[in-house]
Amino acid sequence: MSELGGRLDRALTGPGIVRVEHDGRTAEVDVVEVDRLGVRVRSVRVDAGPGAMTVQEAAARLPGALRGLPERLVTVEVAPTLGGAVVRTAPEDVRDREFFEARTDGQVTELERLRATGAGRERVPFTVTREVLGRMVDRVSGEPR
Amino acid sequence: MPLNIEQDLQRFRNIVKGRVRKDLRKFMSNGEMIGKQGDNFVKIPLPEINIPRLRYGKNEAGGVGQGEGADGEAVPGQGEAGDQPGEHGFDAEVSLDELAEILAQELSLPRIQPKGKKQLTSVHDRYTGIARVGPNSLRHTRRTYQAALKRSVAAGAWDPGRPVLIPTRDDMRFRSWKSKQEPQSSAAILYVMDVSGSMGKEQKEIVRLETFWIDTWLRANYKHLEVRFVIHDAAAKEVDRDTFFRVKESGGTLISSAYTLVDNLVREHYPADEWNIYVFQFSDGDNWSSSDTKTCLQMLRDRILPSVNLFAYGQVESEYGSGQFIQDIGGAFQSDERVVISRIPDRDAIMSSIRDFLGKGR
Repeated sequence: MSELGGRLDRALTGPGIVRVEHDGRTAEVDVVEVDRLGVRVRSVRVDAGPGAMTVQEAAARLPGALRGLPERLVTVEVAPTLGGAVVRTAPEDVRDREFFEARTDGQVTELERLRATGAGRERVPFTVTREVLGRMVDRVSGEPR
Repeated sequence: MPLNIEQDLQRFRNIVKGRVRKDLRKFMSNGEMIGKQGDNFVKIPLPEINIPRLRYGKNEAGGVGQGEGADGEAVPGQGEAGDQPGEHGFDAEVSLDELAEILAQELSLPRIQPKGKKQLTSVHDRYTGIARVGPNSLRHTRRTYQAALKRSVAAGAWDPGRPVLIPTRDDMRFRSWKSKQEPQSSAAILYVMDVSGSMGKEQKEIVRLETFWIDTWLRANYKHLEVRFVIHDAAAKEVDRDTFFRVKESGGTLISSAYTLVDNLVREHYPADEWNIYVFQFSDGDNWSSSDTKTCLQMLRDRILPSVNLFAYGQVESEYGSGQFIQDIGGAFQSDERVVISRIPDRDAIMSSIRDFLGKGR
């Protein structure tokens, strides 16, 4: 774990929004609960800093950067003209209509878990280990893979 | 009196129609029928009973009571008996008009009332008149002999005891046609599909099935039908039918790009006072931004809806569910008769979705 991930790990002490910063990069996590090994979160937001990556680069990088998650993610949409890309759990890995979705504009990436309902989609919390969360934040913010 | 073979054929047609009616939902949710489509018919797979018949083997192979076999020995080459039904079948042809009729009956679809606008006219030749000159193939025998009889009576040559009539050249009468202008309702359908990365193969297949049935119904209601296909992700373009169902893009979804193209096509080719215009849009509802959704609703209200008979929006779902657009459009045009929305979670929902779309008789 590098400095940003390490700082995040140290800041995870209880529920609420946890925000850490290092070297122009920021990680913000909406924490539901946390214990010694794992953390349950609503969303993760990583800002890699201005001009960090193009949309295409970020989209190509994201599935690998999020490989610590329990499902394989694939790039669904890349729209440089609209300034963004969407990465989701691979269709064959979707269970009980729940999936991860990450949106990036090259600089800022937001990750959440969604559940498809009859009326649309709702956000559901998900659990990862503290170590996976830290590494994920590092990779998404541009640390070497 | 109809011939026996005609009665048999009619009976067979009724059986086929009954079969289609019974399994309509199944036919609507699989593409088997569409894959065997001709210009004016589709082929319906029907099961066939294979009548048992004798099959002869080779003479030299020996027979019962011949050869070297011992009592109780199994005959070579005999496998285990199968436990699955055989797959025999043949395809019966059903015309698209018959299919539309079945669809209407099963879904209780009202006949479409074309808009009370100017209609196109077409010229038809109808054989309603009689002429003194014409080709022999159009000779009107009864009228010819009537003329001959009149002439014969007038000339005092008619002998009821020996009723012989020989028509002369002047007696000849021929069928002649008159060209008649008939009003003709014309319709234009614009199919719009989101082909962004989030629309998968299954979603496109649902759209393909749904458009087939919509086409079938509208063709039965309009003599002249023009169909255009528009696809879009972040940008929209017009494509042919084949491309419409096959193309896969990976861009984001910008629905306003499609609405702009639809608006342009309608303005350039389909004046609203001459055409009955239908727009059917299919998407997973994941529009890129709420600001684009606002633009879309504005365009619909101000530019597209004033020209169309019906704007139908079908939201297909994938493993990821579907987006917010259906709620936005539903909320904005809740009381507008020209707008119909339908949620299509899977293939089984195609039937109810078509009922939603076409049930208003617009």
